[in-house]
Amino acid sequence: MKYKNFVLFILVSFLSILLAAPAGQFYQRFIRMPVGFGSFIIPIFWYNFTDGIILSFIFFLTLLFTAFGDQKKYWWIGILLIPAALFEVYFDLAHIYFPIALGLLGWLVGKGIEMVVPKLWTQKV
Amino acid sequence: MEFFFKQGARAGLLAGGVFSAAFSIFLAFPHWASAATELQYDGGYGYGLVTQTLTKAKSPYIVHGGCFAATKIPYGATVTVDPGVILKFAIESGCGSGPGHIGVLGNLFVNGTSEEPVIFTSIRDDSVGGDTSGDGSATVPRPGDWNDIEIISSSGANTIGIHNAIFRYGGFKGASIDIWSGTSSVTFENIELAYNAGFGIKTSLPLTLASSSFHDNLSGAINADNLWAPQVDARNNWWGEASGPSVAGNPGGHGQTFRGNVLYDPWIGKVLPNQPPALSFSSESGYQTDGVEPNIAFLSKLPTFKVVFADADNNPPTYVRIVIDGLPYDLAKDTGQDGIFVNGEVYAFTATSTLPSGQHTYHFETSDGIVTARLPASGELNFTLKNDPVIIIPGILGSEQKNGVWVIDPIFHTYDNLIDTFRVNGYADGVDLFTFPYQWRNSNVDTAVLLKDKIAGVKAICGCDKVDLVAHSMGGLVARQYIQSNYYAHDIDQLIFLGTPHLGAPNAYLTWEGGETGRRLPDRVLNFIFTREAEKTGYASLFDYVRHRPITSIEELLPIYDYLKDKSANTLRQYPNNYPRNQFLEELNANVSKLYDSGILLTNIVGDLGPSSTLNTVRVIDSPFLPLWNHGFPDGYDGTTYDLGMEVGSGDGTLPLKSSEFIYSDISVQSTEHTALPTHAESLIINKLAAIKDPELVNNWHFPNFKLLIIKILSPADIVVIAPDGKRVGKDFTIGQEVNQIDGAFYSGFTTDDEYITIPNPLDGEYKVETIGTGNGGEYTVAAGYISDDVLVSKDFQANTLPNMVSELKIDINSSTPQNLRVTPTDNVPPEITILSPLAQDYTRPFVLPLLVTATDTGSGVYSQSLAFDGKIATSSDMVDLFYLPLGIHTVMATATDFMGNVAIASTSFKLIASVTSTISDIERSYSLGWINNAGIKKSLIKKLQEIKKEDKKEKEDDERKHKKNEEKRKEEFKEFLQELKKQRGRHVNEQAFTLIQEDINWLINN
Repeated sequence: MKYKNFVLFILVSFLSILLAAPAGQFYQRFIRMPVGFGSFIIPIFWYNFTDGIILSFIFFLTLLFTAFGDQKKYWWIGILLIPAALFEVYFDLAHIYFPIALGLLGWLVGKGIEMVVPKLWTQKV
Repeated sequence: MEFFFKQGARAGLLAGGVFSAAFSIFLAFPHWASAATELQYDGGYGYGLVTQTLTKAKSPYIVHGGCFAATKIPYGATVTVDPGVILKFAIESGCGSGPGHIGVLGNLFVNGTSEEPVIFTSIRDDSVGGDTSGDGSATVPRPGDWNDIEIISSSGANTIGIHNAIFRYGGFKGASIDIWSGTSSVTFENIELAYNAGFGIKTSLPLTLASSSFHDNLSGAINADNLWAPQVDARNNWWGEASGPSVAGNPGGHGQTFRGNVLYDPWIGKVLPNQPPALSFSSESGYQTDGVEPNIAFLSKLPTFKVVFADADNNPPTYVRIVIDGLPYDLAKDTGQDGIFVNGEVYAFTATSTLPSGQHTYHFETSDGIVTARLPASGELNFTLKNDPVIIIPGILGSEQKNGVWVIDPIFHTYDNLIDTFRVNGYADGVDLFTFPYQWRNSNVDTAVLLKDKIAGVKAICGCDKVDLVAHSMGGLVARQYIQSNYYAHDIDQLIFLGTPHLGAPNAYLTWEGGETGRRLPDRVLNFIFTREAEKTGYASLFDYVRHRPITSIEELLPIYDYLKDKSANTLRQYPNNYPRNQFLEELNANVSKLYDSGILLTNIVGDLGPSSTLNTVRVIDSPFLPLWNHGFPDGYDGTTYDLGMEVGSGDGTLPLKSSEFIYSDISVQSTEHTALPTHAESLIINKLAAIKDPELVNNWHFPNFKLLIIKILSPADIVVIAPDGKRVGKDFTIGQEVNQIDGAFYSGFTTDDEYITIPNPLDGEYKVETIGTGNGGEYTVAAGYISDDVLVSKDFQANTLPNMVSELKIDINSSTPQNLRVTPTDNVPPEITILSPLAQDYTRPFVLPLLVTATDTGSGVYSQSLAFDGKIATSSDMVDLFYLPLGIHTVMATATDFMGNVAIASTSFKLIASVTSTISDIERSYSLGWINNAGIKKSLIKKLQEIKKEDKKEKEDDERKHKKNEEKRKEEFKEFLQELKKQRGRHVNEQAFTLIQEDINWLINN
């Protein structure tokens, strides 16, 4: 498929937005950084959303591209991770291990899918 | 006993006029046992009485019979009888006359009273006036003992008025009162005719008798049966029996009878058919049409019902009640009633607080014990009981200005669901549903005063005494400040707190001490926005803004309990030692008893997300950033610790539970976050305020209005307008304050990002608009509009600004041609561009040309400039190596724009040409670039060109004419050179060198 990587990018973006708030909520279970002065008017949903959108983006990017990406998929991953990495370094350097771990996890799972799915496909065929 | 009347004695009486002496002698014979008074006679034959007044003091009086039976009141005389006088008629006979009698030809006024009637009776009647006859009980009075009062017509007018008098034991000749026709005026009132022989009264004259009593007269009460057949109106009298007179027309009557044309019905004692009671609306204002005031009432000021009960029989009601929704409630007599039911008595009832809000039906009922009455006669009336008006008070950050008007959270819509829930449950905006957005940056003490005014305004709208408050977050502190102040007007019925920081919130420490709002992304965005606001209003930083504006509300949110932990000691400091003080909360909680004693129904709704949800404690170290964090820098807040120094505990995410739970009245804990409390607690709130058990709830998801935020970020300029007469409105750039010298003009203020100015009835002429850049400057728009009844014209002008840069615009206004409204900058001169290099001349390839362009603007300054070389973007100071360019025309174009949008464009062109010298240089360059890879070829090519050049020069010097003739020869030589070059193409001369040198040679051939 000619624009496979582009389609995957759209899918990654959609999943990131969709699951940003739950991801952020999950993240806060470990980090437990309280909301600040803005919480007098800003719903906690938006705190979780902004916490989680980059994390879910990193996870789904590494997972889906590793699993289903075309050639240059790692090039895509590398380029697309740059803004995410900059974001995490700037806003949450103290917990940088978390997005790194998520990225590795996504890659591992993606790798597993990459290995298993073709076999299943071959068997089916 | 006989009385002998001697001529002599009578003559002596007449002559001497000493009637009394003679009368005394006369009186000597009858001896009266009790004192009695003689009437005064005129001494004439007619036994006429002189004008006299009979008084009670001299009562009883004797009216003689016999020879004195001709006693009369002659024409012209007036006898007046005072109340309580008794006239006893003697039973004398003689002179051919019978018992006592008074003929009335003059005036007789009998002025008895109901307490002291005048009594005309028998001498034998010892029951009044004593035993006048002195015979003890030997005689008893009998009908006919005396004659009558004979009212005789006279030749002149006479007036008889008999009021409150009793006539008994008279009627010797047929009636105790005998009225002849022709008598001028006879009035009777409240007389009693009893025990008379014959009739009580006989009349030839029409009479009216009322309130009188007739009984025990031997023939009857009234005899009007005579030639004159007068009509006697004897209605409303007592006829001796309740059954009324005994006449043919009253077959059941057993009382006194009468003769003649006598009206008798109704009579006293007659059993009338019962008149039904009647209910009507009171004439008192507000009650005239429906009997309730007010018709639309509020729970805090219940309505009063009034109705008028009337009964024609003057019967009191057995009940007067109102039936509301089918349930009866008794009305009580209103104050000031006189107890006369015939005239109507007012009954009232005030509704009780057990009535729920909503529409109710009602009607009035009553009964006099026999008949019931209803108002209205059928159907029901309606009244509405509304809940107390509600005012929603937002918390800190919960209000924003939109077009200059404060609105309640237009960005995150925190209160929209709650407001919609109120609406669907019967509340109406502006009727009983209100909001109170306010400038949250100010002190809550100041805001509380505004709240007082707001409540007063709401009360004026609803006509009610009290309101309900729903206060979220810091709004609860505003409400408490009002209630606990000395100017509280006792006009709050219920108060519901939603997550109010009664003891403060540690989050406020971050902002107050360090100008920080938190480390998570939304907090950082908030920090950015308020830092922009700070800079825009002239403060160096957010910390500077918070402390020196000041944003007092943040200080008033600082906790007043132990929340700072020294890292080194790992213990909590004790408030207030080494804490930023919050005197507002300290004082507010010191007299919290005022809140509890206010009589307000309090409900405290708090949020709880669990034990690790909320900043509870700040772990601090000595501040390395003084004066920031004067009381301690959060340990690792710069990202060097895991928790950034913020230790968590229970709360709603924003406030610790211990702070919100401080007010212990009717606490309700909701498992929700701070901003969600207004929505999450809707059911409870409606239940509390409107007594609706299962209210309809609204819970929509609202996307934040980020546009308002963007506007907030991007507005880069402030404004002042100067009218043609020099008056100003807007921001005084010099002192940073608002100025308004134009009558009626309005300025939204410069702290709002939607700055606007309105000027009513503008003058014709030129208005100047000055703008000053704020923040980081940038693009801005000035929109001017002219509005009249006939026309709406608007013009926009966009420009750019830098921080503190002042720019000026002109707006020409002509009311006769408003469509010509123009907004033009004062600076309408574009920048001046100078292209220093390249010059408009010929260049050859060996040159490296710098692009040197300058732009200047004496007006608003150069905002931007751009450069293009042969259509491609270039920058000034670029160096253009002509070696690589094709021969021919090349162009440099420069554009410059000033801050007012004036644009200047300049360009210059030059020609790139070739010469033998430049071609030689090109060959050298090509060799140095490796395009020609053989030094011998290079030398050969150069040598050939040098020879051509030398020859050309020599011929030119020798003979100009010959030189021209040899141009063809030159061309041939150049062509030969080209042939040589071609031989080397691809061998020792690459394509680039070949193309370049070929172009040069062709140029030389053609030029």
